[in-house]
Amino acid sequence: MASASSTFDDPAENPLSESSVWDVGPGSWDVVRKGVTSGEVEAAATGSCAASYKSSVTAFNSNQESEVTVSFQAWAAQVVRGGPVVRMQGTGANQGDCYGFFGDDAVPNIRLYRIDDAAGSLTYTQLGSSVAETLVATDTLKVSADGSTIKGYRNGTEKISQTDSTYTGGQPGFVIQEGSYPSAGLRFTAWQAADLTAATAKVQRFMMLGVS
Amino acid sequence: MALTYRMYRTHRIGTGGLIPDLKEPGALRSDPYRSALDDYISTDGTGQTFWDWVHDARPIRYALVLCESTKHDVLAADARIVPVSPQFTDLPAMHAWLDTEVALDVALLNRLENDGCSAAWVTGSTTRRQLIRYLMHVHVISQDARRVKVAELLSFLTQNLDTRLGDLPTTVRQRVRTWIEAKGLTTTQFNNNSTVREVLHYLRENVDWPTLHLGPLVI
Repeated sequence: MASASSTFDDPAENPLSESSVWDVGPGSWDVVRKGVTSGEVEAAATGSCAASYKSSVTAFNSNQESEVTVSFQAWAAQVVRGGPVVRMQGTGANQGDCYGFFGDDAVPNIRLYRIDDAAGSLTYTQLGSSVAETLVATDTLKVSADGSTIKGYRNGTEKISQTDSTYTGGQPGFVIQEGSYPSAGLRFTAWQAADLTAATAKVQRFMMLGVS
Repeated sequence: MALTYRMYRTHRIGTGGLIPDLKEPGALRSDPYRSALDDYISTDGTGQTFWDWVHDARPIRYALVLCESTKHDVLAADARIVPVSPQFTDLPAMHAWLDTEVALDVALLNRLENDGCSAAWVTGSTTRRQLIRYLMHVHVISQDARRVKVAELLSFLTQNLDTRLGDLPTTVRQRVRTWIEAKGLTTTQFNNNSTVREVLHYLRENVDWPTLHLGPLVI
């Protein structure tokens, strides 16, 4: 069963590499960097920077989960959002496609998203209801994809469970999108990902089968 | 006060991207595509929440809402949010409703037809569950069209169900044919007089669909 993790404790890097553990952000995503404070990753540029990485070392199966630990967040400036992602496509013209459970400057500010990457632009589609809780430092956010069921967790507690059949495979990772770097932001101190135990799902014409 | 379940058909709101922040000139804020229900319902620890299916070609969603009865009244008063079912105190009651015949529910049949879900196959013994499963499968087809990101496919799914294939642009017809054949299905049975309805029904009848959920509700 595949798994991977990082505590981002290597020397500062831009873009984040950790001996090539991370791919450069695919598709319309930009890159993330190791923050000035050791042990944090953050968006790597000013303006409407978007950033993402996905594990390039380990091939995960279609049913997978991804989790980040939040170290700092602020919503006061402008667009700030990010969190763990699963099923990032990573290849082809729309390689930034993924599902994510994000802290977001929208109110309420924890939401499950499907993110569609199309020729240089990212479209955010919220799945189900928002979670009316306040994200704070040391929180963990986790997203899992199991067949057509996408779930979001805060601090290990399931907050939302939705059905979506758009993306059926890919790699786990995390993203940070920040509009006012470096004055405010969302940073992570740790990331981990693993296959879910149910690895028997298969793609059949339109969607994932095997887990409902 | 007790929470009750109810199904709705809602508008999609948002731009999918960013909008100017009126409180802070020059700043941008998140404005994702989301359900109109998001204006009223969030998961806040009281038990209220909703689950929905995204339709990727049309700006609509179908949802199951769990909230207080008074909140349901507020939702029903919003023109963007149309009740599809009565309120139910628990899921067994909703399942019993799903297993009733739908042929006389003209409002629901018309609503789904207008949303691109054929009801022409419905007979006197067809249940609401069967019809809503069909609706769910149309949503999944639209999500597959989103995945491959071909505008012609999404355009095809916005057509009136009785539109003749011969009246569609050649590029749309060709792209739909390629898409269907790539799934190992045939297209030789269709001609210019075939309709969008017939193509979607063929897809619906020739794919092995798994069980899907609206939250705790297994359709």
